[in-house]
Amino acid sequence: MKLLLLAAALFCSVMAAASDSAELMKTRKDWRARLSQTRSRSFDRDALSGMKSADPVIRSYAVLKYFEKHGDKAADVLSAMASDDDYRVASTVFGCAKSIQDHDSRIKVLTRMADHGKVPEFKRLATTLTTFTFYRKTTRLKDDPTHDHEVEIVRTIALPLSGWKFKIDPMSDGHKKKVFETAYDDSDWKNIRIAATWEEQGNKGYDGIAWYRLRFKMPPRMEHNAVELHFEAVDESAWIWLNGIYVGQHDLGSNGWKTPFWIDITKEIKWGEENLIVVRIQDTSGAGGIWKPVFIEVLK
Amino acid sequence: MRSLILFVLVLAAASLHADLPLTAHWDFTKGSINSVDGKYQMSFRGASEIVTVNGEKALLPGMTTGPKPSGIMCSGSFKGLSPVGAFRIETEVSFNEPTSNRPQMFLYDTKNVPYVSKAPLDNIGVLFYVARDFKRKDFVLGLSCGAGSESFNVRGKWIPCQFGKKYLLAVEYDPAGTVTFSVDGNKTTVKTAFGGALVAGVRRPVIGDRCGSLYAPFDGHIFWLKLFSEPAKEEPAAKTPAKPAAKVQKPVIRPPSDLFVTAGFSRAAFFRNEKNAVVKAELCNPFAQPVTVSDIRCTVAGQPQQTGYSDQTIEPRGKIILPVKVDTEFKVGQYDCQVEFTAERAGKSEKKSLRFPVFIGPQDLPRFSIFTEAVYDQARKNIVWLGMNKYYPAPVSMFLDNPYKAALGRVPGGLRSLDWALANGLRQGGLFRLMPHWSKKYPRHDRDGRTFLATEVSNPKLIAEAKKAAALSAKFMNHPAVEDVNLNEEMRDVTAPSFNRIEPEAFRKIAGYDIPQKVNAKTSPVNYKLADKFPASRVIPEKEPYYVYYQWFWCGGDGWPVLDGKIAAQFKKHFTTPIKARYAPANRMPPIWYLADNIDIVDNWAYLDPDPIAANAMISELAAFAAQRKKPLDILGHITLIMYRSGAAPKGYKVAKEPAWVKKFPNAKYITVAPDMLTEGLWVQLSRQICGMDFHGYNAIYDSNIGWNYICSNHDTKNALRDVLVNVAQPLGPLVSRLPERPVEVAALHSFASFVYAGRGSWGGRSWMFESNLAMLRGNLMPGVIFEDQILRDGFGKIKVLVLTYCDVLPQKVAEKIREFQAKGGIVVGDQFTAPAIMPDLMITPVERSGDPVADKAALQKAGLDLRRMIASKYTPYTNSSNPDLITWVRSDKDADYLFVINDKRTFGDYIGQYGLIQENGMPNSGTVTIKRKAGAVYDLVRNIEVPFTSEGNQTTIPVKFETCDGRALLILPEKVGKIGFEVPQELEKGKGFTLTAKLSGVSGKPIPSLHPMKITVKSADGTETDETGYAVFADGKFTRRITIPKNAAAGTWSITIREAAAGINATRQFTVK
Repeated sequence: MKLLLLAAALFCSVMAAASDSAELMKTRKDWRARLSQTRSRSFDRDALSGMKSADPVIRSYAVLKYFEKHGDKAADVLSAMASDDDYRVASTVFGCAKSIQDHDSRIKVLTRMADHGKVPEFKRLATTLTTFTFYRKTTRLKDDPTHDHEVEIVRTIALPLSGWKFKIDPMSDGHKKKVFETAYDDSDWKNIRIAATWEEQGNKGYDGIAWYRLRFKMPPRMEHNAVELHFEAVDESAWIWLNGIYVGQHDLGSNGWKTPFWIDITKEIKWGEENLIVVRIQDTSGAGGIWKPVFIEVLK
Repeated sequence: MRSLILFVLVLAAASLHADLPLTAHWDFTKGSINSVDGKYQMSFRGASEIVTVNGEKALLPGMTTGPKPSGIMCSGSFKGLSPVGAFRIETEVSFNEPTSNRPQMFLYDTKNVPYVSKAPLDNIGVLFYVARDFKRKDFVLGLSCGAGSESFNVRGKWIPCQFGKKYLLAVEYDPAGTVTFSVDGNKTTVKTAFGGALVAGVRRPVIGDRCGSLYAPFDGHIFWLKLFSEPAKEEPAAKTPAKPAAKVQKPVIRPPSDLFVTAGFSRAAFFRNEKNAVVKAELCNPFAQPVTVSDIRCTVAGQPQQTGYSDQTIEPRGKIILPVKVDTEFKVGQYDCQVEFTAERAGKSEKKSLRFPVFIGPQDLPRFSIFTEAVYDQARKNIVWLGMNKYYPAPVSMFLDNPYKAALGRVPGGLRSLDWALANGLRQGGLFRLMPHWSKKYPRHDRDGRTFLATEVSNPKLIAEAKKAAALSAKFMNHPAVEDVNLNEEMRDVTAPSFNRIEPEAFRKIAGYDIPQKVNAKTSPVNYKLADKFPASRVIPEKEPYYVYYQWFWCGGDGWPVLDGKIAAQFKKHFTTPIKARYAPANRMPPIWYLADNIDIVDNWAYLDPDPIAANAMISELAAFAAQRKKPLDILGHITLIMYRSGAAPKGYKVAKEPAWVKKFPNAKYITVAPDMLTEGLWVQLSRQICGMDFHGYNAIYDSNIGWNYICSNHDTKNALRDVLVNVAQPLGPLVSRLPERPVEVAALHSFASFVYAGRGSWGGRSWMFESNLAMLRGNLMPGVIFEDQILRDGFGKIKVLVLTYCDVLPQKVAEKIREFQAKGGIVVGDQFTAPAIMPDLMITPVERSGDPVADKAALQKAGLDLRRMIASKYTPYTNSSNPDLITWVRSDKDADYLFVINDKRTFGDYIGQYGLIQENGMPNSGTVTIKRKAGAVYDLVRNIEVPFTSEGNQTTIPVKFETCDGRALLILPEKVGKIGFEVPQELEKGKGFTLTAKLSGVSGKPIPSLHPMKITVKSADGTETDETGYAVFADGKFTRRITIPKNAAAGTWSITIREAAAGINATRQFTVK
């Protein structure tokens, strides 16, 4: 008897939930039908109305459908939706904004998202896309067509494993704060070692942007044809400044975490003086950081 | 049973030879290298000398650098110094710090090599040696003996080595096939693949080094050495001097003892009733002169071979092959193959009669394979005890660890092991792996032209070489005891694009453009969130270059599917009996169908922590992959017996009541899976259609001497394993393997496009993609998995609910199909990541693991139950339970349903529970399960009893009660089981047979048409069960088996009993054998 009562109670609660969800499914089905009629006169009204729905599934679909119909002209509507607090809606708005052809309109929506977005992941991505524009092509000596000789490493200088300063940058706005500049005060940053992941050093589970800074002294000038920074590996992507000057990047996406890379710093290195290297790292999953040693290679 | 009796006898025999006569005694503490009785004169080799160590004299063989001889050598190959029967060698030694990197150090040698060799003189004699592990500073004793064209090599247990400490080492050989090693009195007994008389070596014995080239001197001091041996038959005991001889024997080089006969490169074991069984006897001549043999007659079990043999001359050190037909209509057992002939050598003629054993094993009847891996001959008794009937790897397959050309000599030893398996009703599985050095010979290239150590299997030269290796390996492995071959396990894990000429050209040919610029790994560099111009809908055209490339790469562009298909073809070509090709781990791939020709079986090992029900989700993923064939590939159940310690009881974490195993194994990386979790996992897996069960990690359930990373931290786990294997897997195996799965009604899409553009994938048990399946299982939704390929080929079949977890990106055609599905009333469930082009009907919230198993399980249960409630208005799953710890899975055949109920209720125990990461102990649980059908009867297929139920309308409710986290297999029928009927002849002659047909009917008298588990027991007149005994199924109400009476069977009254597994109804008939 007890079991039967229990089963009956369970059945009632299931039916109540089922009734709610049946209503929800019906509503969504109706909206799917309405929003698929992009040529109908009422489409714009429907879509704009859908964007005000309490149901984020409907809001998201309405945003997409409206953008598919209006393209760049949807920029204002997208801007208005840029602060939606639902992940699905925010990801749709971000995807649409990224697809806007007109540069200014695109930046406008993304900037709105960067400034007012409520979903951290897309707020960070929007910030990156709108304000992080650093890029420099590096040409290694071995690939320089004008250098018709065998490249020889005449000296390898290992950067110290400790003495680095470190700060995570969850909002991806460190570059806006110009943390790569020599004058930036990093005294309140944590100490960190390289040749080890940041997870191993008190930052368990952190995925996102983080910054490393190191001041180091170079030996007196020696004869050379080029100087290159050699990173044995960084997990996953890296952007590098030397003495406040942007020198290059390693950005192979998540596959780049174990790939060594070299950056030409021939012009930026200061011989016999103190230098500042700043590395911005993006890690999207698993371990992150400068997890292998870094060298300066003097080449002839 | 037979093997158990044999084993007991062997153990008893191991201690029978304490009274062996002393043959020779060397006591170096006296300062002499000759035997104490002066009979055996020795001479120093190389830098060897008698030295004083800690005030005592000892032989120091000396680590001579380079290939130079050391130790001391006897002046002749005296009779008795190379034993032919039982013997024991004892010695007292101490080890030095290693002065060389040679792992093997020979103590006493008349044989030369520890393996089967092509050189005849290397397959005779004895060799007692020490092997050492430099890293762990352990040593192990080893013995190799030659019996003619065969050798065996066995080792004892690894022992920690203390340099400078004295050890008393001993080895004892018993012709029953047992070797007992002893270190300071602690014994280890090892069963060899074969026993019997040995053939005396002809080389002069050496103490402290090897007798031939490639020297292996003992790196330490030898204080004394004694040899005790059973007198050889041709050397009567009376002639062996019992007292010290006053006179030094004249040095002699003793000639080989005699001609000998073996099965050599031929099978010597056959199935009972096997047709055309022939053993190819090898008659070998170890003499330096030719031998002419005439009047040759061969018999097996006393039955003469029909074909006559011509007189032949055997070349010096040569052999002739004599095909001998084996009558397999005798009962299971060991028989002699006897060769009688007249031999003429150097003008002398004599009659000879030589023999070797042949075996008749149980008939080759359908079987449900249950096995484990990395098990060598020493562990076979444990395999049988555990309820298994197969093991990996077949010894012949190990050849590929070495250059395969050098492996020829090891074939006979491997064949004897396979013979042993067949004779005892066991099977083995073969392994094939690319040789490690091929990764250097055929490396992959990155974009800069640098090579890395991953084999470029797309290289046609490698494929040609691998095919040759596979053909050679298959020829050696060709034996009916080898059931399947596991191809290149785990090797695709290290695949990567290769920018050598081959892959770029091949891709350009099919795509019309180059490999996309950013490709540099097996996973895509592109993420939709950051990629330029990525469609806002996240629906991509099928011609998108990265999608095209990665489809090409995983479907064969990297070479692996093509290579595996060709290797499998070689095995099938060169095997004379059917062999299946196995591919694993099939889930550690992106979700895509790729055609690997000739593959028959797929599997992927399931870790049972923290959720044993993961074994079910794993099978669903495999089923989605296996569906690529019209007749789906077989799915092998596979469970790992280990857990990563880091996830269960992390090193360095201090807890109250620290488990005892932590003190014993402070540095363990892998520990034994908890017994109750294994029990649950086994039940979970048995609820699915699998062709067999594999268990990885034998060394985690038995204390091992093999030196694996695995340790046995819980000795109860093997008992739990045995309990389920013997009581559930064996009886229900034939049913489990044949019973079809119900068509999937709730399925999760594993999207390949989302792998390419969002880095999604389960990869065999990771991520929300996998976890969502666990949630749905807990909602009793019986979820399946579907790939995009299947949607495009077959549509959605019976699917009512399609779940799009982690489906961020979809290909155009798949998105269209999903919209059509939705338009036709199908329910689409999405998550926050689902491509915005799809508007889901319902949403499921991703569950992220917190590390708290109680909270995580509750969250997954909630997600599953919420989904069940949400879809309830449109879809009611076939089963349900009264609490989410009762998980159901149902399979159906005709009008029967087979409802598996798993109790997932667990709590923290004192094995690993102290760490709070895994609930490892099963808990009692009770409740009801329901199924949407009427029932006339419900049975428990393991307890063989009818169970109570209520059936109202279209629903049947069954109360269930559990004491721990195990399972129930409930059979639901429209009516009760009635009776079993079958007839047997009144009388039968030996050597004759009949076809037994038994029928199963319900109480109405109508046949029960569905698959129905049963057991047949055939007992001979002497009360022993014959090989026809075993578990099987009634199909269409019938069971048929041919019953044959062996020619040498016991006369009298035989009986046949058939017992069905639902109600336990049985029927017995008797007949007389004349």
